[in-house]
Amino acid sequence: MNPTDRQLSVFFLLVAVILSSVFIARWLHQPERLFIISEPGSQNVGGGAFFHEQFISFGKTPETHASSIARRADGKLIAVWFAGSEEGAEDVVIAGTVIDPVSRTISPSRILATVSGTGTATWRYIRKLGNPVIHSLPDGRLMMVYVSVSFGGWAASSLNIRFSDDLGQTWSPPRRLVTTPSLNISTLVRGVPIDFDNGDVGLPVYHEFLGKFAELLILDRNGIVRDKHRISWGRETIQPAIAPLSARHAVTMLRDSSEVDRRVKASRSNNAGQTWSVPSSLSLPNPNSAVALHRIDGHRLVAIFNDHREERHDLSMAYSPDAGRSWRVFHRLEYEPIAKERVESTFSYPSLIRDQRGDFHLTYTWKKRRIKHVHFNLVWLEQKI
Amino acid sequence: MNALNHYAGLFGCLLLLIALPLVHVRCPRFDRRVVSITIFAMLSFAVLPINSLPVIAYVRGVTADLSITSVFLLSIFIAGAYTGNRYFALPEKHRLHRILMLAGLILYPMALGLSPWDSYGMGYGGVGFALILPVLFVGLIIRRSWMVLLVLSCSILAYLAGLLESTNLWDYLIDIWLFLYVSVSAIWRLLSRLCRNRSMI
Repeated sequence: MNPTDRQLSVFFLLVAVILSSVFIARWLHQPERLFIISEPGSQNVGGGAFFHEQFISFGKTPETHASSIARRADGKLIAVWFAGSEEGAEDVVIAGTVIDPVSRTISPSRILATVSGTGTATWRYIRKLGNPVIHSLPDGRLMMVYVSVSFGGWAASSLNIRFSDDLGQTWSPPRRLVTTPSLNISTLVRGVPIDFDNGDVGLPVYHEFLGKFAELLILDRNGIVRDKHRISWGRETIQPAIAPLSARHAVTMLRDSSEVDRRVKASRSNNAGQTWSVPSSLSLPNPNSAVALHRIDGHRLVAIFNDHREERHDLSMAYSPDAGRSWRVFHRLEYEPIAKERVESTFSYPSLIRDQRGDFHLTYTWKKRRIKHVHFNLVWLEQKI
Repeated sequence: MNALNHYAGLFGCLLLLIALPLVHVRCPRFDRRVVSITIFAMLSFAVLPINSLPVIAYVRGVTADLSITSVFLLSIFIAGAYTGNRYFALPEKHRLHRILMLAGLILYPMALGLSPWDSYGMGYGGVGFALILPVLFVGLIIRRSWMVLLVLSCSILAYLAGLLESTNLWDYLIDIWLFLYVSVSAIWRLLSRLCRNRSMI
Protein backbone atom coordinates (compact mmCIF):
# COMPACT_ATOMS: atom_id res chain seq x y z
CA MET A 1 0.00 0.00 0.00
CA ASN A 2 1.56 3.30 -1.07
CA PRO A 3 1.48 6.37 1.25
CA THR A 4 -1.43 8.00 -0.62
CA ASP A 5 -3.50 4.85 -0.31
CA ARG A 6 -2.65 4.65 3.38
CA GLN A 7 -3.75 8.25 3.94
CA LEU A 8 -6.98 7.69 2.02
CA SER A 9 -7.66 4.48 3.97
CA VAL A 10 -7.29 6.30 7.27
CA PHE A 11 -9.41 9.20 6.03
CA PHE A 12 -12.32 7.02 4.86
CA LEU A 13 -12.09 4.83 7.96
CA LEU A 14 -12.49 7.98 10.02
CA VAL A 15 -15.43 9.04 7.86
CA ALA A 16 -17.03 5.61 8.37
CA VAL A 17 -16.56 5.76 12.14
CA ILE A 18 -17.95 9.30 12.38
CA LEU A 19 -20.97 8.57 10.17
CA SER A 20 -21.76 5.33 12.02
CA SER A 21 -21.49 7.16 15.35
CA VAL A 22 -23.93 9.80 14.11
CA PHE A 23 -26.41 7.15 12.96
CA ILE A 24 -26.12 5.19 16.21
CA ALA A 25 -26.55 8.38 18.26
CA ARG A 26 -29.65 9.30 16.25
CA TRP A 27 -31.05 5.80 16.66
CA LEU A 28 -30.44 5.83 20.41
CA HIS A 29 -32.11 9.23 20.75
CA GLN A 30 -35.21 8.28 18.81
CA PRO A 31 -38.15 9.34 20.99
CA GLU A 32 -40.60 6.80 22.32
CA ARG A 33 -43.97 7.86 21.00
CA LEU A 34 -47.22 7.07 22.78
CA PHE A 35 -50.73 7.83 21.58
CA ILE A 36 -52.58 10.73 23.16
CA ILE A 37 -56.00 9.47 24.21
CA SER A 38 -58.49 12.32 24.25
CA GLU A 39 -61.12 11.82 26.91
CA PRO A 40 -64.58 13.20 26.08
CA GLY A 41 -65.65 16.47 27.68
CA SER A 42 -68.18 16.65 30.49
CA GLN A 43 -70.30 19.59 29.29
CA ASN A 44 -72.89 17.30 27.82
CA VAL A 45 -73.63 15.46 31.04
CA GLY A 46 -77.31 15.98 31.84
CA GLY A 47 -78.05 17.47 28.40
CA GLY A 48 -80.59 16.05 26.01
CA ALA A 49 -79.89 13.92 23.00
CA PHE A 50 -79.47 15.68 19.70
CA PHE A 51 -78.70 14.74 16.13
CA HIS A 52 -78.44 17.56 13.62
CA GLU A 53 -77.44 17.48 9.98
CA GLN A 54 -76.81 20.23 7.44
CA PHE A 55 -75.00 20.82 4.18
CA ILE A 56 -71.77 22.74 4.45
CA SER A 57 -71.08 23.01 0.71
CA PHE A 58 -73.79 24.08 -1.66
CA GLY A 59 -73.15 22.48 -5.01
CA LYS A 60 -71.44 25.50 -6.59
CA THR A 61 -69.10 23.13 -8.42
CA PRO A 62 -70.32 20.05 -10.33
CA GLU A 63 -68.25 17.77 -8.09
CA THR A 64 -67.35 17.99 -4.40
CA HIS A 65 -65.66 15.13 -2.60
CA ALA A 66 -63.36 13.80 0.14
CA SER A 67 -64.07 16.04 3.10
CA SER A 68 -62.07 16.14 6.31
CA ILE A 69 -62.98 17.94 9.52
CA ALA A 70 -60.98 19.21 12.51
CA ARG A 71 -61.77 21.12 15.68
CA ARG A 72 -60.09 24.49 16.01
CA ALA A 73 -58.54 25.81 19.21
CA ASP A 74 -61.40 28.33 19.56
CA GLY A 75 -64.02 25.57 19.69
CA LYS A 76 -65.21 26.03 16.12
CA LEU A 77 -64.71 23.42 13.42
CA ILE A 78 -63.00 23.64 10.08
CA ALA A 79 -63.85 21.31 7.20
CA VAL A 80 -62.01 20.94 3.90
CA TRP A 81 -62.73 19.06 0.68
CA PHE A 82 -61.85 19.14 -2.99
CA ALA A 83 -64.16 20.74 -5.52
CA GLY A 84 -64.14 21.30 -9.27
CA SER A 85 -65.69 20.36 -12.58
CA GLU A 86 -64.85 16.69 -12.00
CA GLU A 87 -62.45 14.54 -10.00
CA GLY A 88 -58.98 14.83 -11.48
CA ALA A 89 -59.70 18.00 -13.47
CA GLU A 90 -57.18 20.83 -13.49
CA ASP A 91 -59.71 23.26 -12.02
CA VAL A 92 -60.10 21.24 -8.81
CA VAL A 93 -59.26 23.27 -5.70
CA ILE A 94 -59.09 22.51 -2.01
CA ALA A 95 -61.92 24.45 -0.39
CA GLY A 96 -62.89 24.84 3.24
CA THR A 97 -65.40 26.32 5.62
CA VAL A 98 -65.71 27.12 9.32
CA ILE A 99 -68.62 25.72 11.33
CA ASP A 100 -69.79 27.07 14.67
CA PRO A 101 -71.04 23.98 16.52
CA VAL A 102 -73.13 26.07 18.94
CA SER A 103 -74.97 28.39 16.56
CA ARG A 104 -74.48 25.94 13.64
CA THR A 105 -73.62 28.81 11.33
CA ILE A 106 -71.36 28.11 8.38
CA SER A 107 -68.92 30.62 6.95
CA PRO A 108 -68.75 31.10 3.17
CA SER A 109 -66.36 28.50 1.74
CA ARG A 110 -62.84 29.64 0.86
CA ILE A 111 -60.24 28.28 -1.52
CA LEU A 112 -57.30 26.95 0.49
CA ALA A 113 -55.12 25.45 -2.25
CA THR A 114 -54.94 25.51 -6.04
CA VAL A 115 -53.00 23.68 -8.72
CA SER A 116 -51.00 26.74 -9.74
CA GLY A 117 -50.33 27.87 -6.15
CA THR A 118 -49.07 24.42 -5.21
CA GLY A 119 -46.89 24.21 -8.32
CA THR A 120 -45.31 27.62 -7.76
CA ALA A 121 -44.60 27.00 -4.08
CA THR A 122 -43.16 23.52 -4.54
CA TRP A 123 -41.22 24.42 -7.71
CA ARG A 124 -42.62 21.65 -9.84
CA TYR A 125 -45.37 21.10 -12.36
CA ILE A 126 -48.67 20.02 -10.79
CA ARG A 127 -51.54 18.69 -12.90
CA LYS A 128 -54.30 18.07 -10.36
CA LEU A 129 -55.19 18.07 -6.67
CA GLY A 130 -56.94 15.40 -4.62
CA ASN A 131 -57.89 14.30 -1.09
CA PRO A 132 -57.17 16.80 1.68
CA VAL A 133 -56.89 16.02 5.39
CA ILE A 134 -57.03 18.67 8.09
CA HIS A 135 -55.90 18.27 11.68
CA SER A 136 -55.69 20.42 14.79
CA LEU A 137 -52.35 20.04 16.54
CA PRO A 138 -52.15 20.02 20.34
CA ASP A 139 -50.46 23.47 20.24
CA GLY A 140 -53.49 24.96 18.45
CA ARG A 141 -52.05 25.16 14.95
CA LEU A 142 -53.87 23.63 12.02
CA MET A 143 -52.13 21.20 9.69
CA MET A 144 -53.46 20.41 6.23
CA VAL A 145 -52.06 17.66 4.03
CA TYR A 146 -53.38 17.21 0.50
CA VAL A 147 -52.69 15.12 -2.55
CA SER A 148 -51.24 16.45 -5.79
CA VAL A 149 -50.37 14.72 -9.04
CA SER A 150 -47.84 15.85 -11.65
CA PHE A 151 -48.48 13.13 -14.22
CA GLY A 152 -50.71 10.08 -14.55
CA GLY A 153 -53.56 9.06 -12.27
CA TRP A 154 -54.01 8.86 -8.50
CA ALA A 155 -51.36 6.15 -8.35
CA ALA A 156 -48.85 8.94 -9.05
CA SER A 157 -49.95 11.05 -6.07
CA SER A 158 -47.65 12.92 -3.72
CA LEU A 159 -48.40 14.78 -0.51
CA ASN A 160 -48.15 18.48 0.30
CA ILE A 161 -48.34 20.02 3.76
CA ARG A 162 -49.38 23.46 5.04
CA PHE A 163 -49.76 24.97 8.51
CA SER A 164 -51.90 27.76 9.90
CA ASP A 165 -51.09 29.67 13.09
CA ASP A 166 -54.30 31.74 13.00
CA LEU A 167 -57.11 29.18 12.94
CA GLY A 168 -57.04 28.80 9.18
CA GLN A 169 -57.10 32.47 8.16
CA THR A 170 -53.68 32.28 6.52
CA TRP A 171 -51.57 29.28 5.55
CA SER A 172 -47.87 28.61 5.13
CA PRO A 173 -46.71 27.87 1.56
CA PRO A 174 -47.27 24.23 0.65
CA ARG A 175 -44.27 21.97 1.06
CA ARG A 176 -43.71 18.59 -0.54
CA LEU A 177 -43.50 15.51 1.72
CA VAL A 178 -41.14 12.84 0.41
CA THR A 179 -42.61 9.47 1.33
CA THR A 180 -41.51 6.90 -1.24
CA PRO A 181 -38.25 6.19 -3.10
CA SER A 182 -39.87 5.62 -6.50
CA LEU A 183 -40.30 9.17 -7.89
CA ASN A 184 -42.01 10.05 -4.58
CA ILE A 185 -45.32 8.92 -6.02
CA SER A 186 -48.11 6.67 -4.82
CA THR A 187 -48.91 8.18 -1.43
CA LEU A 188 -52.40 9.45 -0.62
CA VAL A 189 -54.16 10.59 2.54
CA ARG A 190 -57.67 10.03 3.77
CA GLY A 191 -57.92 9.14 7.50
CA VAL A 192 -57.92 11.43 10.52
CA PRO A 193 -54.36 11.98 11.87
CA ILE A 194 -53.49 10.93 15.42
CA ASP A 195 -51.37 12.75 18.00
CA PHE A 196 -48.40 11.38 19.91
CA ASP A 197 -47.31 12.54 23.38
CA ASN A 198 -44.00 13.96 22.12
CA GLY A 199 -45.74 16.33 19.68
CA ASP A 200 -45.36 14.09 16.63
CA VAL A 201 -48.36 13.39 14.43
CA GLY A 202 -49.30 10.03 12.95
CA LEU A 203 -50.66 10.52 9.44
CA PRO A 204 -52.54 7.51 8.04
CA VAL A 205 -51.55 7.15 4.38
CA TYR A 206 -51.99 4.58 1.66
CA HIS A 207 -50.41 3.56 -1.62
CA GLU A 208 -52.04 2.81 -4.94
CA PHE A 209 -49.23 2.18 -7.42
CA LEU A 210 -48.20 -1.46 -7.83
CA GLY A 211 -49.22 -2.35 -4.31
CA LYS A 212 -52.30 -1.21 -2.45
CA PHE A 213 -51.40 -0.96 1.19
CA ALA A 214 -51.58 1.27 4.25
CA GLU A 215 -48.92 2.99 6.33
CA LEU A 216 -48.62 5.31 9.29
CA LEU A 217 -46.38 8.27 8.46
CA ILE A 218 -44.75 9.94 11.46
CA LEU A 219 -44.36 13.72 11.16
CA ASP A 220 -42.78 15.96 13.76
CA ARG A 221 -44.52 19.15 14.90
CA ASN A 222 -43.02 21.00 11.92
CA GLY A 223 -44.29 18.49 9.43
CA ILE A 224 -40.93 16.84 8.78
CA VAL A 225 -41.19 13.12 7.99
CA ARG A 226 -39.43 11.24 10.81
CA ASP A 227 -40.49 7.67 10.28
CA LYS A 228 -43.11 5.43 8.83
CA HIS A 229 -44.64 2.14 9.82
CA ARG A 230 -46.33 -0.34 7.55
CA ILE A 231 -49.89 -1.26 8.51
CA SER A 232 -50.57 -3.68 5.66
CA TRP A 233 -48.93 -4.87 2.46
CA GLY A 234 -49.94 -6.47 -0.80
CA ARG A 235 -52.75 -5.26 -3.02
CA GLU A 236 -55.91 -5.24 -0.93
CA THR A 237 -56.12 -2.68 1.86
CA ILE A 238 -56.06 1.11 1.71
CA GLN A 239 -57.36 4.21 3.52
CA PRO A 240 -56.65 3.32 7.16
CA ALA A 241 -58.91 4.86 9.82
CA ILE A 242 -57.07 4.62 13.12
CA ALA A 243 -58.56 4.75 16.62
CA PRO A 244 -56.10 4.71 19.54
CA LEU A 245 -57.50 2.73 22.48
CA SER A 246 -54.73 3.42 24.99
CA ALA A 247 -51.23 4.88 24.96
CA ARG A 248 -49.93 1.80 23.13
CA HIS A 249 -52.97 0.10 21.68
CA ALA A 250 -54.84 1.04 18.53
CA VAL A 251 -57.14 -0.51 16.00
CA THR A 252 -57.40 0.50 12.36
CA MET A 253 -60.16 -0.21 9.88
CA LEU A 254 -59.17 -0.53 6.23
CA ARG A 255 -60.98 -0.16 2.94
CA ASP A 256 -61.05 -3.46 1.10
CA SER A 257 -59.74 -3.01 -2.44
CA SER A 258 -59.91 -6.69 -3.29
CA GLU A 259 -62.57 -7.98 -5.63
CA VAL A 260 -63.06 -11.07 -3.51
CA ASP A 261 -63.95 -10.53 0.13
CA ARG A 262 -65.51 -7.06 0.10
CA ARG A 263 -65.56 -6.71 3.87
CA VAL A 264 -63.98 -4.08 6.09
CA LYS A 265 -60.53 -5.19 7.25
CA ALA A 266 -59.03 -4.48 10.66
CA SER A 267 -55.51 -4.43 12.01
CA ARG A 268 -54.18 -3.86 15.54
CA SER A 269 -51.09 -2.41 17.13
CA ASN A 270 -49.90 -2.84 20.71
CA ASN A 271 -46.72 -0.77 20.44
CA ALA A 272 -48.09 2.67 19.59
CA GLY A 273 -48.31 2.02 15.88
CA GLN A 274 -44.83 0.68 15.21
CA THR A 275 -46.06 -2.72 14.07
CA TRP A 276 -49.51 -3.91 13.04
CA SER A 277 -51.19 -7.28 12.89
CA VAL A 278 -52.07 -8.90 9.57
CA PRO A 279 -55.45 -7.38 8.54
CA SER A 280 -58.43 -9.63 9.12
CA SER A 281 -61.98 -9.36 7.80
CA LEU A 282 -64.75 -7.94 9.97
CA SER A 283 -68.44 -8.71 9.68
CA LEU A 284 -69.10 -5.29 8.08
CA PRO A 285 -69.37 -5.25 4.26
CA ASN A 286 -67.27 -2.88 2.19
CA PRO A 287 -67.88 -1.86 -1.44
CA ASN A 288 -64.27 -0.67 -1.83
CA SER A 289 -65.02 2.54 0.05
CA ALA A 290 -63.54 4.57 2.90
CA VAL A 291 -64.54 3.98 6.53
CA ALA A 292 -64.47 6.40 9.48
CA LEU A 293 -63.72 5.21 12.99
CA HIS A 294 -63.68 6.82 16.44
CA ARG A 295 -63.37 5.71 20.04
CA ILE A 296 -66.36 6.45 22.28
CA ASP A 297 -64.66 5.48 25.54
CA GLY A 298 -62.81 2.46 26.90
CA HIS A 299 -62.92 -0.15 24.17
CA ARG A 300 -66.16 1.09 22.65
CA LEU A 301 -65.97 2.29 19.05
CA VAL A 302 -68.26 3.83 16.49
CA ALA A 303 -67.73 3.43 12.74
CA ILE A 304 -69.33 5.02 9.68
CA PHE A 305 -69.35 2.80 6.60
CA ASN A 306 -71.25 1.80 3.46
CA ASP A 307 -73.47 -1.10 4.45
CA HIS A 308 -73.32 -2.93 1.14
CA ARG A 309 -70.81 -5.11 -0.71
CA GLU A 310 -71.18 -3.49 -4.10
CA GLU A 311 -72.59 0.01 -3.85
CA ARG A 312 -72.22 3.20 -1.83
CA HIS A 313 -75.95 3.99 -1.67
CA ASP A 314 -76.25 3.16 2.04
CA LEU A 315 -74.24 5.01 4.67
CA SER A 316 -74.66 3.55 8.14
CA MET A 317 -73.28 3.66 11.67
CA ALA A 318 -71.97 0.62 13.53
CA TYR A 319 -71.06 0.10 17.17
CA SER A 320 -68.43 -2.14 18.70
CA PRO A 321 -68.27 -2.79 22.46
CA ASP A 322 -65.06 -4.83 22.26
CA ALA A 323 -62.36 -2.76 20.54
CA GLY A 324 -63.61 -3.53 17.05
CA ARG A 325 -63.90 -7.32 17.28
CA SER A 326 -67.66 -7.47 16.89
CA TRP A 327 -69.92 -4.92 15.25
CA ARG A 328 -73.61 -4.10 15.23
CA VAL A 329 -75.26 -1.67 12.78
CA PHE A 330 -77.45 0.72 14.76
CA HIS A 331 -78.36 3.63 12.52
CA ARG A 332 -78.74 4.35 8.83
CA LEU A 333 -77.58 7.83 7.90
CA GLU A 334 -78.42 7.77 4.19
CA TYR A 335 -80.17 5.43 1.82
CA GLU A 336 -81.32 5.73 -1.77
CA PRO A 337 -82.25 3.09 -4.30
CA ILE A 338 -79.37 2.50 -6.69
CA ALA A 339 -79.81 4.96 -9.56
CA LYS A 340 -78.88 4.42 -13.18
CA GLU A 341 -76.30 7.15 -12.79
CA ARG A 342 -74.58 5.56 -9.81
CA VAL A 343 -73.05 8.83 -8.61
CA GLU A 344 -76.59 10.15 -8.04
CA SER A 345 -77.05 7.76 -5.14
CA THR A 346 -73.66 7.57 -3.47
CA PHE A 347 -72.70 8.63 0.06
CA SER A 348 -69.05 8.17 0.80
CA TYR A 349 -65.75 9.26 2.35
CA PRO A 350 -66.88 9.83 5.96
CA SER A 351 -64.64 11.77 8.34
CA LEU A 352 -65.43 11.59 12.06
CA ILE A 353 -64.01 13.61 14.98
CA ARG A 354 -65.02 14.72 18.48
CA ASP A 355 -64.97 18.29 19.70
CA GLN A 356 -63.84 19.64 23.09
CA ARG A 357 -67.28 18.95 24.56
CA GLY A 358 -67.23 15.34 23.45
CA ASP A 359 -69.78 15.83 20.65
CA PHE A 360 -69.26 13.91 17.43
CA HIS A 361 -68.90 15.65 14.08
CA LEU A 362 -69.17 13.71 10.87
CA THR A 363 -68.72 14.98 7.34
CA TYR A 364 -69.20 12.96 4.17
CA THR A 365 -69.70 13.29 0.44
CA TRP A 366 -73.38 13.54 -0.51
CA LYS A 367 -73.93 12.28 -4.05
CA LYS A 368 -70.51 13.66 -4.99
CA ARG A 369 -72.07 17.11 -5.23
CA ARG A 370 -72.15 18.37 -1.66
CA ILE A 371 -70.59 17.84 1.73
CA LYS A 372 -72.90 17.08 4.62
CA HIS A 373 -72.11 17.73 8.28
CA VAL A 374 -73.74 15.65 11.00
CA HIS A 375 -73.50 16.74 14.63
CA PHE A 376 -74.64 14.38 17.39
CA ASN A 377 -73.86 13.97 21.04
CA LEU A 378 -72.99 11.08 23.29
CA VAL A 379 -76.49 10.99 24.78
CA TRP A 380 -77.98 10.39 21.31
CA LEU A 381 -75.36 7.77 20.61
CA GLU A 382 -75.99 5.95 23.92
CA GLN A 383 -79.73 5.91 23.22
CA LYS A 384 -79.16 4.47 19.77
CA ILE A 385 -76.68 1.75 20.64
CA MET B 1 -36.74 22.79 4.65
CA ASN B 2 -35.81 25.88 2.70
CA ALA B 3 -34.99 27.28 -0.69
CA LEU B 4 -31.75 25.29 -0.67
CA ASN B 5 -33.82 22.09 -1.03
CA HIS B 6 -35.45 23.48 -4.16
CA TYR B 7 -32.14 24.63 -5.63
CA ALA B 8 -30.57 21.23 -4.95
CA GLY B 9 -33.55 19.42 -6.49
CA LEU B 10 -33.66 21.68 -9.54
CA PHE B 11 -29.88 21.44 -9.97
CA GLY B 12 -30.08 17.66 -10.27
CA CYS B 13 -32.78 17.96 -12.94
CA LEU B 14 -30.72 20.58 -14.75
CA LEU B 15 -27.72 18.23 -14.86
CA LEU B 16 -29.96 15.51 -16.26
CA LEU B 17 -31.24 17.86 -18.98
CA ILE B 18 -27.68 18.78 -19.94
CA ALA B 19 -26.35 15.23 -19.79
CA LEU B 20 -29.02 13.65 -22.01
CA PRO B 21 -27.98 15.35 -25.29
CA LEU B 22 -24.31 15.05 -24.34
CA VAL B 23 -24.60 11.27 -24.49
CA HIS B 24 -25.14 11.64 -28.24
CA VAL B 25 -22.72 14.55 -28.74
CA ARG B 26 -19.93 12.66 -27.05
CA CYS B 27 -20.23 9.37 -28.86
CA PRO B 28 -19.05 10.12 -32.41
CA ARG B 29 -16.24 12.52 -31.70
CA PHE B 30 -15.32 14.70 -28.75
CA ASP B 31 -15.53 18.39 -29.56
CA ARG B 32 -15.33 20.99 -26.79
CA ARG B 33 -17.16 23.62 -28.84
CA VAL B 34 -20.12 21.33 -29.49
CA VAL B 35 -20.22 20.39 -25.81
CA SER B 36 -20.16 24.07 -24.78
CA ILE B 37 -22.96 24.97 -27.19
CA THR B 38 -25.01 22.00 -25.98
CA ILE B 39 -24.57 23.01 -22.34
CA PHE B 40 -25.51 26.63 -23.09
CA ALA B 41 -28.53 25.59 -25.16
CA MET B 42 -29.83 23.24 -22.46
CA LEU B 43 -29.24 25.86 -19.74
CA SER B 44 -31.28 28.38 -21.72
CA PHE B 45 -33.99 25.81 -22.37
CA ALA B 46 -34.12 24.82 -18.69
CA VAL B 47 -34.94 28.33 -17.46
CA LEU B 48 -37.50 29.04 -20.19
CA PRO B 49 -40.72 30.03 -18.39
CA ILE B 50 -43.98 28.24 -19.23
CA ASN B 51 -47.06 29.28 -17.22
CA SER B 52 -44.91 30.97 -14.52
CA LEU B 53 -42.73 27.89 -14.04
CA PRO B 54 -39.38 27.22 -15.78
CA VAL B 55 -39.03 24.11 -17.95
CA ILE B 56 -36.81 22.59 -15.28
CA ALA B 57 -39.76 22.61 -12.84
CA TYR B 58 -41.75 20.51 -15.31
CA VAL B 59 -38.85 18.08 -15.52
CA ARG B 60 -38.78 17.97 -11.71
CA GLY B 61 -42.50 17.23 -11.67
CA VAL B 62 -41.83 14.06 -13.63
CA THR B 63 -38.40 12.94 -12.44
CA ALA B 64 -38.68 14.00 -8.77
CA ASP B 65 -35.43 15.00 -7.04
CA LEU B 66 -32.40 13.00 -8.14
CA SER B 67 -30.16 11.44 -5.52
CA ILE B 68 -26.84 13.01 -4.61
CA THR B 69 -25.14 9.96 -6.14
CA SER B 70 -26.88 10.77 -9.45
CA VAL B 71 -25.90 14.43 -9.16
CA PHE B 72 -22.29 13.39 -8.53
CA LEU B 73 -22.22 10.96 -11.46
CA LEU B 74 -23.92 13.43 -13.82
CA SER B 75 -21.43 16.14 -12.82
CA ILE B 76 -18.52 13.80 -13.52
CA PHE B 77 -20.06 12.82 -16.84
CA ILE B 78 -20.57 16.44 -17.96
CA ALA B 79 -17.09 17.45 -16.77
CA GLY B 80 -15.68 14.44 -18.64
CA ALA B 81 -17.56 15.40 -21.79
CA TYR B 82 -16.15 18.92 -21.59
CA THR B 83 -12.53 18.10 -20.75
CA GLY B 84 -12.27 14.74 -22.44
CA ASN B 85 -10.89 13.20 -19.26
CA ARG B 86 -12.22 10.05 -17.56
CA TYR B 87 -12.63 10.70 -13.83
CA PHE B 88 -14.00 7.31 -12.92
CA ALA B 89 -11.95 4.16 -13.64
CA LEU B 90 -14.14 1.48 -15.24
CA PRO B 91 -13.67 -1.20 -12.54
CA GLU B 92 -14.61 1.35 -9.85
CA LYS B 93 -17.59 2.52 -11.86
CA HIS B 94 -18.82 -1.04 -12.28
CA ARG B 95 -18.32 -1.68 -8.57
CA LEU B 96 -20.51 1.32 -7.76
CA HIS B 97 -23.08 0.06 -10.26
CA ARG B 98 -23.16 -3.35 -8.54
CA ILE B 99 -23.63 -1.73 -5.12
CA LEU B 100 -26.43 0.48 -6.42
CA MET B 101 -28.12 -2.39 -8.20
CA LEU B 102 -28.07 -4.50 -5.04
CA ALA B 103 -29.38 -1.53 -3.03
CA GLY B 104 -32.16 -0.97 -5.56
CA LEU B 105 -33.15 -4.63 -5.55
CA ILE B 106 -33.51 -4.47 -1.76
CA LEU B 107 -35.21 -1.09 -1.74
CA TYR B 108 -37.78 -0.87 -4.52
CA PRO B 109 -39.75 -4.14 -4.38
CA MET B 110 -40.20 -3.82 -0.62
CA ALA B 111 -41.05 -0.11 -0.77
CA LEU B 112 -43.70 -0.90 -3.38
CA GLY B 113 -45.48 -3.13 -0.88
CA LEU B 114 -44.27 -6.57 -1.94
CA SER B 115 -43.26 -7.48 1.62
CA PRO B 116 -44.50 -6.74 5.13
CA TRP B 117 -41.15 -5.11 5.91
CA ASP B 118 -40.40 -1.72 4.38
CA SER B 119 -36.70 -1.28 3.65
CA TYR B 120 -37.34 2.41 2.90
CA GLY B 121 -38.25 2.98 6.58
CA MET B 122 -34.65 2.08 7.50
CA GLY B 123 -33.54 5.33 5.85
CA TYR B 124 -35.28 7.45 8.51
CA GLY B 125 -32.56 6.66 11.04
CA GLY B 126 -32.88 3.00 11.88
CA VAL B 127 -29.86 1.12 13.16
CA GLY B 128 -29.54 -0.77 9.85
CA PHE B 129 -27.45 1.83 8.08
CA ALA B 130 -25.25 2.29 11.17
CA LEU B 131 -24.28 -1.37 10.84
CA ILE B 132 -24.13 -1.65 7.04
CA LEU B 133 -22.11 1.49 6.31
CA PRO B 134 -18.89 0.61 8.22
CA VAL B 135 -18.85 -2.86 6.64
CA LEU B 136 -19.36 -1.36 3.18
CA PHE B 137 -16.71 1.30 3.77
CA VAL B 138 -14.13 -1.25 5.00
CA GLY B 139 -14.84 -3.46 1.97
CA LEU B 140 -14.35 -0.52 -0.39
CA ILE B 141 -11.17 0.60 1.43
CA ILE B 142 -9.70 -2.90 1.02
CA ARG B 143 -10.49 -2.68 -2.71
CA ARG B 144 -9.16 0.92 -2.83
CA SER B 145 -12.36 2.21 -4.41
CA TRP B 146 -11.68 5.81 -3.50
CA MET B 147 -14.13 7.36 -5.94
CA VAL B 148 -16.96 5.09 -4.77
CA LEU B 149 -16.12 6.00 -1.18
CA LEU B 150 -16.13 9.67 -2.11
CA VAL B 151 -19.56 9.38 -3.80
CA LEU B 152 -21.06 7.55 -0.81
CA SER B 153 -19.50 9.96 1.71
CA CYS B 154 -20.82 12.99 -0.17
CA SER B 155 -24.32 11.48 -0.35
CA ILE B 156 -24.38 10.70 3.37
CA LEU B 157 -23.01 14.14 4.32
CA ALA B 158 -25.67 15.77 2.12
CA TYR B 159 -28.28 13.71 4.00
CA LEU B 160 -26.97 14.85 7.36
CA ALA B 161 -27.01 18.46 6.10
CA GLY B 162 -30.61 18.04 4.81
CA LEU B 163 -29.75 19.19 1.31
CA LEU B 164 -32.77 17.62 -0.42
CA GLU B 165 -36.47 17.76 0.52
CA SER B 166 -36.31 14.17 1.67
CA THR B 167 -35.40 13.19 5.22
CA ASN B 168 -34.65 9.63 4.16
CA LEU B 169 -31.06 8.49 3.54
CA TRP B 170 -32.11 6.22 0.66
CA ASP B 171 -33.16 9.26 -1.38
CA TYR B 172 -29.63 10.64 -1.15
CA LEU B 173 -27.97 7.36 -2.13
CA ILE B 174 -30.16 6.17 -4.99
CA ASP B 175 -33.09 7.13 -7.16
CA ILE B 176 -35.20 5.08 -9.54
CA TRP B 177 -33.54 6.54 -12.66
CA LEU B 178 -30.10 5.65 -11.38
CA PHE B 179 -31.30 2.16 -10.49
CA LEU B 180 -32.75 1.69 -13.98
CA TYR B 181 -29.55 3.02 -15.55
CA VAL B 182 -27.20 0.72 -13.59
CA SER B 183 -29.52 -2.25 -14.13
CA VAL B 184 -29.68 -1.73 -17.90
CA SER B 185 -25.89 -1.17 -18.00
CA ALA B 186 -25.28 -4.37 -16.07
CA ILE B 187 -27.59 -6.40 -18.31
CA TRP B 188 -25.93 -4.85 -21.38
CA ARG B 189 -22.45 -5.75 -20.08
CA LEU B 190 -23.56 -9.28 -19.30
CA LEU B 191 -25.06 -9.76 -22.76
CA SER B 192 -21.95 -8.31 -24.43
CA ARG B 193 -19.75 -10.70 -22.44
CA LEU B 194 -21.92 -13.66 -23.37
CA CYS B 195 -21.79 -12.71 -27.04
CA ARG B 196 -18.00 -12.31 -26.86
CA ASN B 197 -17.56 -15.70 -25.22
CA ARG B 198 -19.78 -17.34 -27.82
CA SER B 199 -17.85 -15.78 -30.72
CA MET B 200 -14.57 -17.00 -29.16
CA ILE B 201 -15.98 -20.54 -29.06
